[in-house]
Amino acid sequence: MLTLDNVTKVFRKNDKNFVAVEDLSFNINKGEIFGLIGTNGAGKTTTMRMIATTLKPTYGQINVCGFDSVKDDANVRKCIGVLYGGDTGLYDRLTARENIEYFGRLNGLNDDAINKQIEYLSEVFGLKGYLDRRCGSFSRGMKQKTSFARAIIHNPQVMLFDEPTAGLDILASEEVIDFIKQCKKLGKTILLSSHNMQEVEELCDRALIIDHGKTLCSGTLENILQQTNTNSIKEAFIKIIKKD
Amino acid sequence: MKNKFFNQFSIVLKKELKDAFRDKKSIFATFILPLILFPIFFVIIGMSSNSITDKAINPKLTIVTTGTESSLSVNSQEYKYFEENIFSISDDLKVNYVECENFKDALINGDIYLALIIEENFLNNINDVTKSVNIQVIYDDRSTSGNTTASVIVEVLNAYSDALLQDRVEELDPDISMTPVVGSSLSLSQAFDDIQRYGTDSTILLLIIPMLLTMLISIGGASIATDLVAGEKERNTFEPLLSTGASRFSILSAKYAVIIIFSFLSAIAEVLSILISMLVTKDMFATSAFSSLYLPFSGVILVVLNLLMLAALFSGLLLILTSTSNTLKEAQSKSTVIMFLPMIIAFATMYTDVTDISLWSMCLPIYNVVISIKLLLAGVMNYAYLWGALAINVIYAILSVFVTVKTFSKESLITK
Ligand SMILES: Nc1ncnc2c1ncn2[C@@H]1O[C@H](COP(=O)(O)OP(=O)(O)OP(=O)(O)O)[C@@H](O)[C@H]1O
Ligand SMILES: [Mg+2]
Repeated sequence: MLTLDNVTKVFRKNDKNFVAVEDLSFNINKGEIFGLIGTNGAGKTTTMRMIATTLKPTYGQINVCGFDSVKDDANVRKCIGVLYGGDTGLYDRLTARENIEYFGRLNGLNDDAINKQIEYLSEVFGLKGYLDRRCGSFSRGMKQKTSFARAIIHNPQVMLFDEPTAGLDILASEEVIDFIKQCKKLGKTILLSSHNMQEVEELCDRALIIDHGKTLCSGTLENILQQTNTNSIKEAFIKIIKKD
Repeated sequence: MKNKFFNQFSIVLKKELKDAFRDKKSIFATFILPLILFPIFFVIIGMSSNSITDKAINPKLTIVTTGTESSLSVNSQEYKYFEENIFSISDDLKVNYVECENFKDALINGDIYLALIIEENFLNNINDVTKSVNIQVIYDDRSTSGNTTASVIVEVLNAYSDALLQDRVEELDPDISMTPVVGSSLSLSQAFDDIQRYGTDSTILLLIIPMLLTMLISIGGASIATDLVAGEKERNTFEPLLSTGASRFSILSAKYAVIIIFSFLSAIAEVLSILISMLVTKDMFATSAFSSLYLPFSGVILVVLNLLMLAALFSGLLLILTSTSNTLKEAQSKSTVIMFLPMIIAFATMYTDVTDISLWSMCLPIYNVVISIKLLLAGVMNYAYLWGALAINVIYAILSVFVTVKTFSKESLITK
C-alpha cells in the first residue's frame, strides 16, 4: 500500500547540505499500523511530508496506492489523509462543518458524500453539538478532533498521523487512539509518528526507529524487543538511541 | 483536466471570499473606513475654506498714519471716509475695525490681519486731482486669512481708484471711453460647437481620481494578501491545504483572483465614496463635472484593461511577499514597503500636463496607468499611449505571474 525505497532528503541550509532523512526504506501493508519513532529533529515530519507530496525526495521513490509520489502527486494526495500534529490549524472564521466541507470538496467529494461522512465522523468524534460553531472558540481537543475529521473526510485508504495526540489531555488522547484502532479495523493503512511509547505499544504492528535521519532499527514490536533484549519499547528506544 | 482546475479554483475562491467577508476588521479597513473618511475629509476641507472666505469678507484691520504706531479712532474722519467711500464698494465686505496701541504688535499677535498706512493729510490729498495718494497695506503673511484679506483690500482700493478716475475723466469729457480695450476668452469647445469635448475639467477629479484609483488597484488587496498565505502558515492551515487533492496551481490561482477582486472592490469603494462626498458637500465641481463628463467607450475599455494588468502585476508581487513570509507580521511589514512604491510614483504624476507626455513614461509601471486615466478623464484621447501602456503592462503582468508560479512551486513554501 505504502512503499518507501531508499528515500533520502537533503535540505540546503545556509549554503550547506543537510541530510534530514537518509536512505529510508519501509513498506506498510493494508490494515497495518506502522510506527515511526524518533527524537526531535529525527526526520519524522520530513518523511510524512514526502509521502504527502509537499516535499520531493532528493533520492529514492515513494509509492502510495500504486501511484508515484512525484509523477502522480495529485492522485497520491487523494488517497491519503494527513494529520499534522502539534498546533493544528483550522480556519477560525469558518464553522467546524465548513472547515470539514472545504477539504471534502477539495478532495473531489460531492455534497451528498460530504454530508454522509460528516454525519458519520461527527458521531465518532462527538462533534455533533459543535458542527455549526466557528472554530475560533474551540478548545485544543475540539480543534484536534475537527482536524481529524477534516483529514479523513474523503475516507482515504492511507492515513498519515504525525504526533496526533501531542498536546491533548488523557481523555482526548484516548478518543484519538480509539479512533485509530477503528480505522485499522476498517482496513486502513496507517503511518503513525509519536513520542509516546505507550501509544506505539498499544497501536503499532511494526515500527521503525529513526535518529538524525538514519534508520537504527525496524521490525515488529516483538522483534525490536528481542533485538535489544528489553521488556518495553521505551527501554528499547532509549537503549538504541544511546548506543548510537 | 480543465474542468477539474475550475472546480478546485472555484472551491478555494468561494471559501476565501466567505472567510474574508467574515473578517470584520479587514472589511472595515478596506471598505467602510474609506466610505466614512472621504466625506469627512471633504466636509472639513469645505468648512475650512468657507471659514477662510468668511474671514476675508469680515477682515480685522486697523488704520494708522505714517510714522505713528497707534490706530486712528473708529470715529476719526479718515475711517469714516474709508467706510463710506472705499469699503462700501464691495457689497460683501464687512470690515471689523480694531483699534490698537501698536499695530505691529497687533499684527504679530494675530489681533488684526492687516494695517492700512495712510499719509497725514490723506483727506486733503484724496480730493486733490493733481495728487496721488499712497496707501500701504501691511498684512500678516503667516496666515491664509492675512493673505486673502490683503488681496481683497488691495482689490477694493484699486476699484476705488478706478471709480475716482472715471469720475474725474467724465468731468473733463463724458465721451471718453473708460474701457478702450476689452479682452475675453473662449475655450475650444465653447468657440466651436462641432468639437466633441471629452472628459472633465474638474481639477479635483483630474488630480485625485487617477492617483487614488491607481494606488488602490495596486495595493488595495494587500491586507487580504498577507492573510492568504502567511496567515495560513501562521495558523498551520497551509500545509493541510496543500496536502489535499487540489493542485497547487488551482489553489494559487484562486488566491491570486481573491487579491485582484479585493483591489478592485477597494478601488470602487473609494471612487464611490469620493463621488458621494462631492455630492453630499454639494461641491462646486461636482455638478458641472458630472454633467460634462463624457468618456469614449474604447478609451474606458483600454483604461480598465490597463488597471487589470496593474492589478495582476501587484497581486503577483503581494502573493510572492506573503508566500515568502512565515508570519502575518513579517508579511505585513514587507507589504508596507511595497505600499510606498505606488504612492511615490503616483504623486510624481501630479503636475504632468496631459497634452505633453513623454513616451518613455509609457514603460514605467503605475506611472503609465495614472497617465492613462488622466488622459481619459481630461478627454485627450492619445490612443498610441493607451495601447503602448497596455502592451507594456501585459508584459509586466506576465512576468509577475511567472515569478509567482515559480515561488509557489518551491518546496520552501510549506516550511517555516
Ligand atoms: N525545510 C527545511 N530546511 C532545512 N532543514 C529542515 C527543513 N525541514 C526540516 N529540516 C530539518 O530536518 C530535521 C528533521 O526535521 P523533522 O521536522 O522531520 O523532525 P521531526 O522528527 O518531525 O521532529 P519533531 O519531533 O520535533 O517533530 C531537523 O533538523 C530540521 O531542522
Ligand atoms: Mg515533527
